[in-house]
Amino acid sequence: MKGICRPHHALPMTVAAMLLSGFVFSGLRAASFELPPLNSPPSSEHHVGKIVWADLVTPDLAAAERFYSGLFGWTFQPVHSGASDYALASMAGRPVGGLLQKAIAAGEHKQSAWLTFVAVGDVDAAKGAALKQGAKIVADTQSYPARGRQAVLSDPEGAVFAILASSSGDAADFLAAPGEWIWSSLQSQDAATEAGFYQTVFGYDVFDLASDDGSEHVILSSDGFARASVNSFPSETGHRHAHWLNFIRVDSTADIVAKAAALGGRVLVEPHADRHGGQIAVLADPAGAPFGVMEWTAADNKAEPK
Amino acid sequence: MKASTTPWIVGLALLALATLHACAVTGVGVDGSVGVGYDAGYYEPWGYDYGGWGGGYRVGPGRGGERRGGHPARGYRPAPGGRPSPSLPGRARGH
Repeated sequence: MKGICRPHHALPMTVAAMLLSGFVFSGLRAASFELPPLNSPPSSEHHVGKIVWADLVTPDLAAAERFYSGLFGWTFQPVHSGASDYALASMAGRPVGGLLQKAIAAGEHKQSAWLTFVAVGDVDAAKGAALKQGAKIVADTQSYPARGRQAVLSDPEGAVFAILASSSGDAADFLAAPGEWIWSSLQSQDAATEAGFYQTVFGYDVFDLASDDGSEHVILSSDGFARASVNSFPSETGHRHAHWLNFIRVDSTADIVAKAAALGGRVLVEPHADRHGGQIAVLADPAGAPFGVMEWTAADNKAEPK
Repeated sequence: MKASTTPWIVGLALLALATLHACAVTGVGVDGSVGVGYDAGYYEPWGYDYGGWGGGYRVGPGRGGERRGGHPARGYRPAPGGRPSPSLPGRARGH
């Protein structure tokens, strides 16, 4: 009898042991996965419509780290996220963005890019409003306890952006330091219609500014500050699709452009003066992800909200 | 008989626990879930063309109070004409 019972006992116990070990390892994996908070210590402020984060998707994380570290002095901290390779980028100890490695299948042509995160108070409400206005879901709502709740959407012209209700609040409105994101710009076919979309979703005040080239350039504003611009493509034809472009503040655009080239980047738009009088340029990192650089002197702004 | 069924019950209980645990950490749910991997990495369609950024093509913010464009406001509600156009925050961190 004993001889017959033994296998019966052994099998369930083996199964139980396997399940238990799976349970434990699963718990460990989950515990090790944690996207870091945007603000530490947490902020009690909330700024709906503010661009609060950017994540780069790249096929070569190490190469991207070398490039951005060499160009801006960013430092990186690896974040274990299950099967994903992710690194938190910081400038002078302050988190500025994330780098996510994702393979591109052989033969596929895809564009490495920075994903722009816009602050919302309620991700589900913002997603619902966006979908009603013609947006599509790229990655549905996810919660990352320390970071917050987010979703990735594409606007009616197909420009991809993310919405994020940060668990640690939104950073106060300070002027970005060199090496930090200072501005975001949407390139689109029809700036006015796109501005209407973003106004409906985020409640922006919209300012249409005079332009010398006849293109439509619109400023999106919240809390009395300019948050982003929406721009119609230049009239010159080319391969274009709507996309967000984020700018990093630099002390010298010319120096950064030279350094970027030495580090394996490319210049997409040569340095030139923009509306505020400082120089801007558009660069691509070694994997082709575009980003802008912008000089901004601490000259007095004419219109600072009270 | 009792002695031989107990391990099965323990096994089933652990299976149920493990299933519940997996649901909690791997993002199983109708909407809104806790992510284990990071799926926000989205590649854009291939290639951009930044040609045509002439001197008048300005995408940045102004210093505030710029002249309004006067384009017909299609698709959005323009801020009242009397309001000055905004700029970036002027206050530096720590000041």
